[in-house]
Amino acid sequence: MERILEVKDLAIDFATYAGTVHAIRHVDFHLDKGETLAIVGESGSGKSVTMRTVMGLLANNARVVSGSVKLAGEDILHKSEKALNQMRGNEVAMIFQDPMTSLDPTMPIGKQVAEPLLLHTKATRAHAMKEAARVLALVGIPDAQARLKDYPHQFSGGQRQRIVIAIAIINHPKLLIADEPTTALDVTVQAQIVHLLKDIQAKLDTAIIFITHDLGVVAGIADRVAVMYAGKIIEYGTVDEIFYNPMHPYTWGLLEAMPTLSATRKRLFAIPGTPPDLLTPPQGDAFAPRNPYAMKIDQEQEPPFFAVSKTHAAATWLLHPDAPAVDPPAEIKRRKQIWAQKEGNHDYR
Amino acid sequence: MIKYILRRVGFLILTLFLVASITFFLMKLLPGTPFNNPKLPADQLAQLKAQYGLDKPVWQQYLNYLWGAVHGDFGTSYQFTGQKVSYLISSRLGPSLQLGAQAMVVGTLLGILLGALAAIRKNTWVDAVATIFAILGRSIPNFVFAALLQYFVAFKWGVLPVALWEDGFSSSVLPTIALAMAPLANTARFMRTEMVDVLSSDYIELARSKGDSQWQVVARHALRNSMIPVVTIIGPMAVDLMIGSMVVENIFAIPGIGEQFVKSITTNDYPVIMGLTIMYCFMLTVVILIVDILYGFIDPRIRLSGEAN
Repeated sequence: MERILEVKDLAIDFATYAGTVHAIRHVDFHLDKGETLAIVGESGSGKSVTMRTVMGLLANNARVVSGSVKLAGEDILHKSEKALNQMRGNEVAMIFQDPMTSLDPTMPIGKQVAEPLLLHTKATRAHAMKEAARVLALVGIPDAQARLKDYPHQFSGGQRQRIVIAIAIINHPKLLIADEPTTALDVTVQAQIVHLLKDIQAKLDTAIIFITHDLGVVAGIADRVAVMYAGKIIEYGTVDEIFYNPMHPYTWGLLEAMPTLSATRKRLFAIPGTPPDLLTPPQGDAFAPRNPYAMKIDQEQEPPFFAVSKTHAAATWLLHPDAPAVDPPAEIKRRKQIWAQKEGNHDYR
Repeated sequence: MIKYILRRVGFLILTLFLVASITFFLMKLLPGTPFNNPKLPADQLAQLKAQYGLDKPVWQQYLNYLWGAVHGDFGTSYQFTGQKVSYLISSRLGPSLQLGAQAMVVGTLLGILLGALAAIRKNTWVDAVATIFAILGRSIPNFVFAALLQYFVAFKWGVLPVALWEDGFSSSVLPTIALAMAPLANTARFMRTEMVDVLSSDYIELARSKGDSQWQVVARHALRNSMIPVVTIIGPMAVDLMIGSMVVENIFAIPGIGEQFVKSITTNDYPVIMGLTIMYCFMLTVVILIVDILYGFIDPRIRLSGEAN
């Protein structure tokens, strides 16, 4: 497998008036060609900051404390601004959250879609416009050729997101970063966009990082999942492992909070409390104050990753051999039962 | 589009009519008469009044004036005996229009440039200098600039003419600078505020993620979008310029329309006051119409149609 992205020990601080915010606290992950990694977590968990680092689009007050980010083997943290400009929109492209605001309102869409091609290749204007029409048709804009001169406000939200996707894929990037691309859309349109992304991935063999806080969308698109909390990845694994054999109490909380058809509860579950203030990250497990399963050691010492399988690991003391067995919430038990049936002989905690 | 413009022209005519009517009656409330020479005998005064139709009741004078104006006759001046108002205005309009246009172009273009620079280099010394410059330009009246420029540039250094309108373009440089300061400062402030907003918007980040460099982003995406609110203040700025030019023309002794306006009011030269007011009003409404049409070109979301909203 060709390694597209390798992030190692990445830590990023932000200088603010209130002090230094430790937004990313030593994150590791990787991505292979044609693979889809979903990064899940609530607002402020560091998902978007991590991705902006990969794009080389960090704000001025950000400082990389440690770590490396390698895109197709090249370290991007030490690239010049010029080299980054050449990389962006060519090797790596991004799809943004809100299609209503991510297109330039005063520029015809044809020009906007053709722009990356004109920036990174020697294509003529005429050829770039032809290519723009082709890609717009590919992402499902009907009558694309005739609509090149139209402005963003003449399209619906779903169509605009298709246009944003067209901009992202026109140069066949190795890596596509989708930052909550379905959050601002209707549920039916969400499904279409997820379908479109999978379709494009199959055609172009692009690796996709899918940032979201919607686990429902994750199930439909991702190969692997990384769960982030308070600037750290706290659990990672394949989609099945995260959905049916989750180990971290935070992942339990996320899954519990997801509405299911078989729900017996009248009210939807919500994880109590709020994420910690990253100006002063807590000493032990950052999730401990909100964790009903927290033990004494959680307050004192940060848990390391405990491997569950070759592809699955979680940073929780519950996986330590000396930890007492706990009784997970009913919804998680139900999921683990499905996992046990699937795996046949798998032990379930 | 054509329907829209026609509708706007209709409103323009209505506005002109209202302004002419209001001005006419306000003017009649001004103290004094055009002929206030105390040595003038009563019978001659009566004769003068009869000659200009001032002996008739006010409503009749009003109707007479409107009738004439509709036929392009704005009367004759009382001060410059026998001179047609239309001739008085047209012979002096040139310098004023040139100054106004130059100040407008210089002011808005430099203002856009200065504001954009300040926004791009936000919170640096560039921003600070631009801000100080804009505050000074906004708060110091243009006659102060006019006097300073006259004293230093023209009188002390002898680079450009001190006053008058006799050396063609070089005569217009100093008054243009003095006049352009306010629009420049205004535009720069608006431009900076809007550009800071635009630069932090999603579509700018998307443009950066396409591989646009910082300057490419500004040139291709940020400038045009930031200019939308600047267009809005062109109208009010044009008013400022028209008023400002009265003082500045006086300081530089330029035979423009502003100087004439001031003189006509102090001498109760009714037809000239009327003519000039209508002309100012006309220019202003035309500027506003142009600005509204300009909107449609800069911002495709604003579609101009003939329907009332």
